[in-house]
Amino acid sequence: MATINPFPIRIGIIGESAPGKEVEVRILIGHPMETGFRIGINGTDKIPKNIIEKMVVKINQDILFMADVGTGIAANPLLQFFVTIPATGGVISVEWFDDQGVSRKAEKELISLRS
Amino acid sequence: MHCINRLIQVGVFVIAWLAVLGHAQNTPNSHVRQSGSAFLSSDLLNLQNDEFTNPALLWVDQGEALWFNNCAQCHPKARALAGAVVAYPVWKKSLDRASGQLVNLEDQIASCISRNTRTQPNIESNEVLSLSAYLSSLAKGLKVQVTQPSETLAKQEWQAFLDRGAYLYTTRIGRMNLSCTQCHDGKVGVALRAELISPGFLTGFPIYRQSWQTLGSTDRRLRACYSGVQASIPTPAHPDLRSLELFLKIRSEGMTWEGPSIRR
Amino acid sequence: MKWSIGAFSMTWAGVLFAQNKNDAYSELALKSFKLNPEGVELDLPSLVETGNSIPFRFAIKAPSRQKIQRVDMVAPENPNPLLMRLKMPSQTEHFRFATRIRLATSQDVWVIATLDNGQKIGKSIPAVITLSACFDAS
Repeated sequence: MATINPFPIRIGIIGESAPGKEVEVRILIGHPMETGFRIGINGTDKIPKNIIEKMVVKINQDILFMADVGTGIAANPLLQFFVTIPATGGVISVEWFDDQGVSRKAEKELISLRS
Repeated sequence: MHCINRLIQVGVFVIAWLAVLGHAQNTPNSHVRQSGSAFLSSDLLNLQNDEFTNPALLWVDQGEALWFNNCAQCHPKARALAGAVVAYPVWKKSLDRASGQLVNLEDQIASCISRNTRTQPNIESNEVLSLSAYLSSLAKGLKVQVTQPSETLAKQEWQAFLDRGAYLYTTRIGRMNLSCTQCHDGKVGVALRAELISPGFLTGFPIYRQSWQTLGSTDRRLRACYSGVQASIPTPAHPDLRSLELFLKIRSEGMTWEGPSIRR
Repeated sequence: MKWSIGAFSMTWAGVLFAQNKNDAYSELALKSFKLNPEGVELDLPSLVETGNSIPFRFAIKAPSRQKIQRVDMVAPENPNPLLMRLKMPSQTEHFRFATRIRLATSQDVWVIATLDNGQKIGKSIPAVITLSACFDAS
């Protein structure tokens, strides 16, 4: 049986996706972002910390920004920002690294082939 | 004094039951009933309606992938099963017992998975919730319409579950000594901290609850209600939770399903 | 490679986030920076019903001929005050960003942008929380 992906990522591009145009990118990352402060259902033990620490967002090979992230960001983190699509098009990619040594990467074409 | 209390208890029970009967006979009352979404702040409502930022959609995506890789072998069209979302919980005869039990959507999904693999998935596992969220998203726009068994003995058992649900809904429990109806009928729209009390209809499960920071089922939400009034919490999949779910679903009949929703 | 990135980020984050609440990111320290608020716009709901997930948005426009090198989002009353640090290698004049943050209690949320000449600009916005995000798991 195919197993479920515990860390899905959804990338949305909003706006006219043509070279030179500015579009809004919305990235939704599936991750529990457990702070290590919360008490579990038994009332005594803390739920173990499991937090994303670093994210890297790139357009093609150029780093747009790197983020140091902590417990102050909500679960299933959302990143919303604007990019100008390069003249030759390209992909936007996001890669994250958490404190359990897990990392994931996802990318999306900036120029959608569907009109 | 005791007699009067008893009379009031029975009276409330009868009123709640009449409300249930009224819905079962399709008396139009839907203009009064509001889903929990009507009680959300504008921020959370925007989050729910935005397909790029609604975290519940992470589970819907996963559910779709799981469906096409597994369930589709027997159920090629997921949309054909969307009706289950608004019809469950249903009465099913147990294989090992003479009597039956109420089964909700997550129970059914977990049962299908365990019959086809050799695993026993938990009803709150990401696997089960993703499939539930996927079906729930396909059921958007359908009207809640609960299935009743046709065979006489089964119908009697089903009715007993429903009676139990109505009883639980109107009975005070917990250190706070509150019954569901006191707040969810009597104090709808009143502020509890910064939250507005909703009337508690089932129109948008499973829910991404901010205080859970994850998706959860009706079973989980009802268990949280018990902890909310500081009562001892039934174990997951307890028959009382199914009875309550049946009662609430009947109460919601005719309302429009909203798909997986955001709650506080 | 992945292991070394993991180890590096764990060490780096450990240094960054092990900070005592009462130092560089305390409310007193932030106010003492006397940050120039010009060019910084913040958006945060003033009354928040759940501290678990609060939409937070900001827009920064660097003064002319300056570029933004780094942006810090700070909540001084949180157990870990530095919410997020964004570093822009391809330094930019404009930056708009939105995310969802957690706040432990009612407080001011600060955005501080460091420019390429070392100058810092920034401002704060207050939020009142009615339910704390960090300690309740029911």
